[in-house]
Amino acid sequence: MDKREPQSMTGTARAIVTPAPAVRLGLLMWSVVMTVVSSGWKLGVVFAGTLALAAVVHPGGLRVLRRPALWFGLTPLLVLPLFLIEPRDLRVAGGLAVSSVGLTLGLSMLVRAIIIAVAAAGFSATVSIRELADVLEAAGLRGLGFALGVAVHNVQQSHHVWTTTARAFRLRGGFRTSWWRHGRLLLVTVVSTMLRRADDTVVAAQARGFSADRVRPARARLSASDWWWIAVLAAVAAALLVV
Amino acid sequence: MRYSVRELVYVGVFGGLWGAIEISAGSALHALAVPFAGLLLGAAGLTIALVGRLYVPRPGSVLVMALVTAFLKMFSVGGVVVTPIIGILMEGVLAEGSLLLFGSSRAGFAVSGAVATLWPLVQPFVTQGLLGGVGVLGVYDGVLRLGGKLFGLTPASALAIVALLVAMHAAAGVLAAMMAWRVGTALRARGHQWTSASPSR
Repeated sequence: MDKREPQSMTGTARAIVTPAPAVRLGLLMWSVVMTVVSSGWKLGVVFAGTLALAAVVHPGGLRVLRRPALWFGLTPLLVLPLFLIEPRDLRVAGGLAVSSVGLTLGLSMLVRAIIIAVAAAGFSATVSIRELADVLEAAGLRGLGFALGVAVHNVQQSHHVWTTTARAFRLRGGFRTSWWRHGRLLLVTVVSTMLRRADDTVVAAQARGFSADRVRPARARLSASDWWWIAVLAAVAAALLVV
Repeated sequence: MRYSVRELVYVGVFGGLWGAIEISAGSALHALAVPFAGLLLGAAGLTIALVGRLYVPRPGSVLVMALVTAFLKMFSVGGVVVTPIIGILMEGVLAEGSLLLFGSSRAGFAVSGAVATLWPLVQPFVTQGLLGGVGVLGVYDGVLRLGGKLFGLTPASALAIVALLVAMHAAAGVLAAMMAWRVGTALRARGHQWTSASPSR
């Protein structure tokens, strides 16, 4: 049982707010796909729906909105179109002229980015990599769950190796004469370091007797409330596509 | 997909390396709206994936690495995430398809790189033109303007601009593939033997 779920709920309420990982993946996909295919007021419906879903199913997703880094990344989406798109037909405070088309475009990009950020953060906050691996394995992608787990654990390390190696190269005069040669040396160093770490992971996995063939993922059993989620999301998606 | 433990770990490691590039440099380049950011990222990602192919020489391994990278990108925060995910997956599909057709030789790598890096040129027609509502002709106009500016040609020389853009993208892919081959050779010289085609633990 998910330790993040409220303890004071009744069984039915708990079942509704804690859908199976496969359904949570479906919720994420729903938000992403509906964001891509919707525009105008429909995008507003998807935005409201995603925030409501986050509030009910994965409140952790809303916490991403408190991160300054998110807004640092999103602000250019709203601000740049205001000044880059012509004509600048709107007067704002201080006599500054901005584009009304740019404002509409910037707002829609901002809303789309917020929807995806909240949905993805909510999914990653409530579904463990083990559960995601189980969903992928149950879908017939043998070993992909394990590879994804390795990648998730390695991505931070990869970033660290990339940056420290590149910095070391620059400090020693790299990239000043031959980008091709120094780029190759940088890649060789980074990949070599990661392959050494990979060997350690292989030894650890083999010591535990891991084999992709022997993995028997738990069958995704969907409860009645999970089927309700699927029905409601399908109905809303169909309504938005048809209207 | 029946991979050995070692191959699965390598898929994860190369997916992680590609993912680190997409998450850090990719987010920065897209946020700054750097021209041809997709081409730069595609070439860098393909270099990693093709080195990975030398260590996981099985049909489908580049596609699986792309899938892992797409999942990592999905969980990253910053900018619009959907279009890069489409790009990563399509580059994986094109590279894998070419490798299946032409083999994992040096020439096969070159063709695979050239074909896969053409996708960043095609992607705006799909994402902006069809999904974004700009229209295919609108995107074509934008591509001609950007290409014309880059090569110093007027949009009237449409055919020349398109041919030069295709050549530029394909050349970047071939360079990425040759870089991957040379990196793989250098790694083998350092003792990191390529995995044989037969399953190995």
